[in-house]
Amino acid sequence: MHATIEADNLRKVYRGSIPALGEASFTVGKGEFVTLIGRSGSGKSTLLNILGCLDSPSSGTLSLDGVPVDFRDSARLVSIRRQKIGFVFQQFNLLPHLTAQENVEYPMLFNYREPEERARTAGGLLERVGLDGRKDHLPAELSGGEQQRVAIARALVSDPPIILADEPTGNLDQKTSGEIFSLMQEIGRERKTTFFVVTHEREFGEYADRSFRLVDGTVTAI
Amino acid sequence: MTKLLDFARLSARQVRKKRMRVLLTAFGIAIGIAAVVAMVSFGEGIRYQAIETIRQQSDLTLIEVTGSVKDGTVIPITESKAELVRKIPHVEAAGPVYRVSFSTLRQTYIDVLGIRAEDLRALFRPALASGELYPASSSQVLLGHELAEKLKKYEGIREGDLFTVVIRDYNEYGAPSDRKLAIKTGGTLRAREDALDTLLIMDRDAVSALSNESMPYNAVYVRVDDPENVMAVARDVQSLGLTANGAFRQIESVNRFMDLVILFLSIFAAISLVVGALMIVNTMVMSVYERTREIGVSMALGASQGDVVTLILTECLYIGMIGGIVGDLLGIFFSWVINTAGKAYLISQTGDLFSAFARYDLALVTPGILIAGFLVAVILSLVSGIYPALQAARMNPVEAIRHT
Ligand SMILES: Nc1ncnc2c1ncn2[C@@H]1O[C@H](COP(=O)(O)OP(=O)(O)OP(=O)(O)O)[C@@H](O)[C@H]1O
Ligand SMILES: [Mg+2]
Repeated sequence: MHATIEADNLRKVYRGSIPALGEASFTVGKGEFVTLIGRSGSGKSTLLNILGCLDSPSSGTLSLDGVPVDFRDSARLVSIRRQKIGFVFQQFNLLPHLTAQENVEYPMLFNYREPEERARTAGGLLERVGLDGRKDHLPAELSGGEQQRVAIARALVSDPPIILADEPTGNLDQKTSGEIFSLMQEIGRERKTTFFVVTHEREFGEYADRSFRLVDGTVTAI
Repeated sequence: MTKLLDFARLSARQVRKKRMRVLLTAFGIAIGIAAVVAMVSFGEGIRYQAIETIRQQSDLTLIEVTGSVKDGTVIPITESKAELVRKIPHVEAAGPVYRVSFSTLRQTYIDVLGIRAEDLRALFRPALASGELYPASSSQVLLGHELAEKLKKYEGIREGDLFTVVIRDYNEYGAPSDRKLAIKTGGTLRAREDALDTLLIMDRDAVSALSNESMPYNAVYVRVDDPENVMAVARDVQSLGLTANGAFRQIESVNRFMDLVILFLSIFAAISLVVGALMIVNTMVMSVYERTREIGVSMALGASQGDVVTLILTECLYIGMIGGIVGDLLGIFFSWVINTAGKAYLISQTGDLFSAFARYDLALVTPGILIAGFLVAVILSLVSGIYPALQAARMNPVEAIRHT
């Protein structure tokens, strides 16, 4: 059994030799729920973007779902993003002019599925995140927590093995944050999806199978 | 393909959301298209009018085939060449002719057409004012209407009269020598308003008998079955190494001239198209900038650079289609204005000169012009979208997502 995420000595040095990430080495297994905690500026987002193939490391290697990632092959990176990764953002980042249903379907325009299949999959996921009655609502008509539920459904729509979430509750109150975390935890267990969640708040560590801490660019397990 | 349709639906959302901006941008292109459509229609209307006038005033289906000079040697019209001309498809009748000239004893100059009577009949359907056509190989002649008047007036020659003409020959050193020939006028043509009016017409063989050696024909007159086929016949004639002339050449030169006029009119109108295109570039650059984060998120969700380009270009396609349709409608309106107000003004200002236009539309909007206008709008919009689309596709997704 290979690990779902296998990071080996990932480093990132930005222009002007700002070291944002150094020696990030860890593995995450299938269906694991992992949180990453660290101070602001410690490189959490940088690491997450590299794991999501949105950014490339200065050195080091990464395997996702058993496949080594070649960061120079941009076409491959696109197909990895389509098939292996789901993103959840702090700002929700739903498309404002699309309804909840359409937002969830959106990734399937790129990772193409026929309209009927799209509607079915998206509808099922919206039901799963508890927004059955809100399918035709625009993001502006939904609360922050509801928007993030839509975003979680959107991240799951291509049934990727990995969901990457960058401070998904950063814009939500305490109670709603807890609901979002437990929703992610349940879904991870149901679907055997690996969750890699960046968070500021240590208390959400209780939802995690494991927690990592990022200090000065180095990942350590807690 | 279905993917493109889904993209189109998605872009339609964007477009509908920014209805006002898209409409204003499309309007920029539309005005340019309308100007081009109106200008081209105006040019086409004048072309149509000019060609109609030529059609009505001239004998379009008559072609005069003459020999031509190729690489310094003259290609003469021999009997066999004349036969080839006769066999060209759509040639109804073809008559080889001689063209010579006589003068009267009082130095009145006479152009002579030597043609067989049956060819004359088939080619020109001559209507006689009096007398008869000439018999074969005789020195009896037929006079064109004007020539008959002239001879009667200045020479006192009437129908049935025998009279003497002078034929001037040149020997090999270029020195002239005159011969005299007695001919008899046997008939007069009715006025025809064409070249035959001033000609003395006699039998071809009678003309050829005037010369000691056999001479090549000066021309072959060709009657084409339909005006539509004249150009094709002219081309076939040229491929025989001969020259084709006739009223159709006027139409050709009108066409060449109007092509140029329309081109110039459109170039000026097209300047407003350039402005419209720049408006699209501006709108799309703005739209891409505003949606920086959306584009970054789309990339994170699996959009390739190609997908991003397609999304942006699809929006431009909408702008182009709206601009094309509105532009065509405006163009039709402009043409209508030219045809009503403009025409009335022109006729009132120029009086008789342009009274012919009263029957015609000054601007002629054809489906072809409208289709071309629409396509130009669409293509221009897509071209204008290339830069903003590439700009969007080249975004760094990480930075784009962080963009506020
Ligand atoms: N594009 C960039 N160019 C230069 N430096 C950058 C760039 N992006 C991030 N950095 C730097 O890299 C370091 C890590 O940034 P990163 O965004 O990963 O931190 P973070 O842990 O996510 O912080 P936060 O909790 O505030 O989101 C910071 O010092 C930041 O200033
Ligand atoms: Mg961050």
